[in-house]
Amino acid sequence: MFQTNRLPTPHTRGVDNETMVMMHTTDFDDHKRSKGEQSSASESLDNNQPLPPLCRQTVDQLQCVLDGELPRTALDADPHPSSCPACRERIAAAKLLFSILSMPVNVAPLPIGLTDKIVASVLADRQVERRTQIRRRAFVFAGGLAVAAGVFLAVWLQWFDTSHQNNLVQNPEIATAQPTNPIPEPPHLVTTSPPVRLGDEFSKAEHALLGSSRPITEPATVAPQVLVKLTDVLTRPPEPTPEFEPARMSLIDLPEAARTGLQPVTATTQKAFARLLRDVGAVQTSAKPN
Amino acid sequence: MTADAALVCRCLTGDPTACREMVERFRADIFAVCNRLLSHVHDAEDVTQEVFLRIFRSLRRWDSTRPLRPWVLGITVNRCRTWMGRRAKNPELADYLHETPDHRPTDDSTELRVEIRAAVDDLRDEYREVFVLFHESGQSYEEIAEAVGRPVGTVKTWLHRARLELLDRLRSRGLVPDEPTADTPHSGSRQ
Repeated sequence: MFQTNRLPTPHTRGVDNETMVMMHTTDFDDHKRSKGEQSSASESLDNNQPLPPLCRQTVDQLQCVLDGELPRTALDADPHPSSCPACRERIAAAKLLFSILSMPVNVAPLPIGLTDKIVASVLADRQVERRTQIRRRAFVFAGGLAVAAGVFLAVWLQWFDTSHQNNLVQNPEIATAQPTNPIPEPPHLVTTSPPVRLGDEFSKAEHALLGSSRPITEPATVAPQVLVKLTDVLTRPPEPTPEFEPARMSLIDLPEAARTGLQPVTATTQKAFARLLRDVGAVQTSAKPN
Repeated sequence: MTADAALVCRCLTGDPTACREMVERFRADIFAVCNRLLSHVHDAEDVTQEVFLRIFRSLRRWDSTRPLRPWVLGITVNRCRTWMGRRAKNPELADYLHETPDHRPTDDSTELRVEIRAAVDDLRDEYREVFVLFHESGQSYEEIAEAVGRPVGTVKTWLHRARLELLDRLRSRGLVPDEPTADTPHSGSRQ
């Protein structure tokens, strides 16, 4: 149950007895007032009911002995408990507590393999933390690199633009006169274009938008008329449908129609067959074997 | 450089031997405090592991001019508080299964120890912490003050109150042996 039977020694405490008693009384009272929480059991020993001076002295001495400030024999040297049953019980309970605290302790056994488990988890946690640190550093490095590249690019562009402008200012003949360079320069590089002003551009865009508002809105005004025309069909009264004559009165006339329809075809076939026979006969008579 | 600082430096360099040495040096104390504050072996084992993870993560923040043990115990107490708070929020349904009663025959001293242990468990968290650290871990007031992050006077007050409650409980349970003393009249005593 209790890990050690070590009781505090005066050397380890470093607080003298008077200070101890004062601290107990003052701190205890302050704490009691501030917290206002105390079990009913300990209230009998607490300062709500002020102890008589002799009992207070015994209780403080008891605490000092429990603190290790005084030897245990100091309890026996106090004559007050012999005449005070309450303090006698306190001393007896303190001795009982002393005896329990001084007993050889039943040390709770450490779980088997606890050390290996802890070391393994610590090493694994370190690896995870190291990986996280590496990843974080890589992100920071990449971010720094990107920022540096952006800054470098911006500076270079600024420098290039400035040097180009300076070159044009210092040598105006470059912009006006044709150099001896046989390759003709494009005109947009020679002539200096005015700088772009955002206000002007926005005003131009606004004018263009206002100018184009009429053709844009025109079809929109036509739309209701189209809609009226479309819906007018539904509201108009239905027109009388024309009556058509049937193509055939009945199916009885169909063989005659087929015969008359096929007549030219059969006549043509007969003529063609007759001509074929005639041609074949002519070939047989004219072609004689040798 | 103190031995603590040297050990910490070796741990910070990633020496596995130093890590093991650190674990072996503090495991018993940490586990004992966890076991006493949590009253649960499995919880104590888990919290001990968490405590060591915290220790190794924050070793760089340790002030080498101060002793290592109170710092370690401070982390232990904080983790135990966090664990107790978490346990209070999510109580386990079958918690009684974890602690099986011991049916071995008990003598008076065992009964007394069980009684005192129950009394300590019934103390408020702050009182229990300082009582365990003082009487069971053998820490000084200054070390306990550093561990729990309170002034020394507050620690003494808490310890004082813890003892008073314990003594009163022992008296109320009738565990204090009767003394064959003659009743003498005493005007100033309380009944």
